[in-house]
Amino acid sequence: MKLLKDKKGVVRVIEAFLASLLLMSCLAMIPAQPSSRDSTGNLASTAQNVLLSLDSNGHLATLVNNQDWTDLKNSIESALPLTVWFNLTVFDENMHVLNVFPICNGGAVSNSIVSVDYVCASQSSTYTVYILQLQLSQVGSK
Amino acid sequence: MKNRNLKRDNSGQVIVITALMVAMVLLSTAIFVIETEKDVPTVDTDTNNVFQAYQQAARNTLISALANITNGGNPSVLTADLNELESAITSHSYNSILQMSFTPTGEAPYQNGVWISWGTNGQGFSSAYVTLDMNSTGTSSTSNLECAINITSEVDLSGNYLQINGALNQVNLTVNVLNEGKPALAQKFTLYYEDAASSTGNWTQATSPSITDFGNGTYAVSFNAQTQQPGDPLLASVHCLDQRGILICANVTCTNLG
Repeated sequence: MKLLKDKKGVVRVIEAFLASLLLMSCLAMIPAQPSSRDSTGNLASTAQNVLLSLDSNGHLATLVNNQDWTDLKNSIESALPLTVWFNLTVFDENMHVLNVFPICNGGAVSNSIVSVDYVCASQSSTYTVYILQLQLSQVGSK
Repeated sequence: MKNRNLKRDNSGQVIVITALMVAMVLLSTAIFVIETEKDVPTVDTDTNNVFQAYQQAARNTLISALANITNGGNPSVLTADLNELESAITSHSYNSILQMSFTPTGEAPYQNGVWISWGTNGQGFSSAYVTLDMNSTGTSSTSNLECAINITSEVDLSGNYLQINGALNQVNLTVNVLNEGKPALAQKFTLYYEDAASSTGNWTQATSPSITDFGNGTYAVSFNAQTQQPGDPLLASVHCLDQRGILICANVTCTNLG
């Protein structure tokens, strides 16, 4: 009863709640950072789509069959945004590396790298299966 | 009005400090969660793209096998290639446990997934058909895909011939090339003709045929053909290699335009 009658500090309590609300509303107004889960998901999807579109008419396997690494690099480079770093490694079925020099657009610029494996079958009458590993990274990400 | 002495009025200070501390704890917790979320390794669970990639690989495999078979290879190459693909895919599926099976269809007119019909009615088909059944079990979801994959190269042929001089005739053919029912381009044509009246069964390869490509899968072909007697009926045959390397043949009895 004494506590109920004691009205001292009520305004301070209200002030404290208002301060808390102010802090919380400031916190809510901080712009949400892009989730790394979303960005890696997008990059993985981009990697799959790039390889899928190059493979849609058998072009990808033809480039690998002919060991035309320069054209392969140019094809991937033109299919990706300029702000994306890539590195492609081509393996045979026994996971032996086939490309004699790196197929990439420079050194890695981020610690966050997405890697996608793609199974590519050739359309030529001499059947071959290749495993392509495409690594992507967004330039400027942490 | 009573004046307040703020220096002496200490009521509610503890509550203010407590409220600020609670707010700080909440704030630091939120920042901690954001920071730790950045370093969480993620697994791509977008199975749609992966399934599309596997379907594309299966399509390429069918094209390869069909190119091999139509150029004289053994029909069993289809099963062998599909097994090779299945092995490659399942051994490189790191995100999920993958079970897949290819079943070459045995329904007529297919035999072990292959149908080759190089007819005498002007139509030729080279086709492969398999059903793909795939089951992917990941850490958070299970996906199932069942689809049919059909690769069909077709050539439609019609023609006529016109007597030029004695037993020498000019043969005019119209050839339509189709892939999966859609107009497609050819890589190479080899043309033959036969005098149907001689019934020797010997086909003669046409020399220096004139081929006009209309760019929409339609070709106009013209060449000279010698028969034994003027007015003998003439058969024409087209061996067409499409852009995918699949061979399709078709024969037709040409119409005599007089």
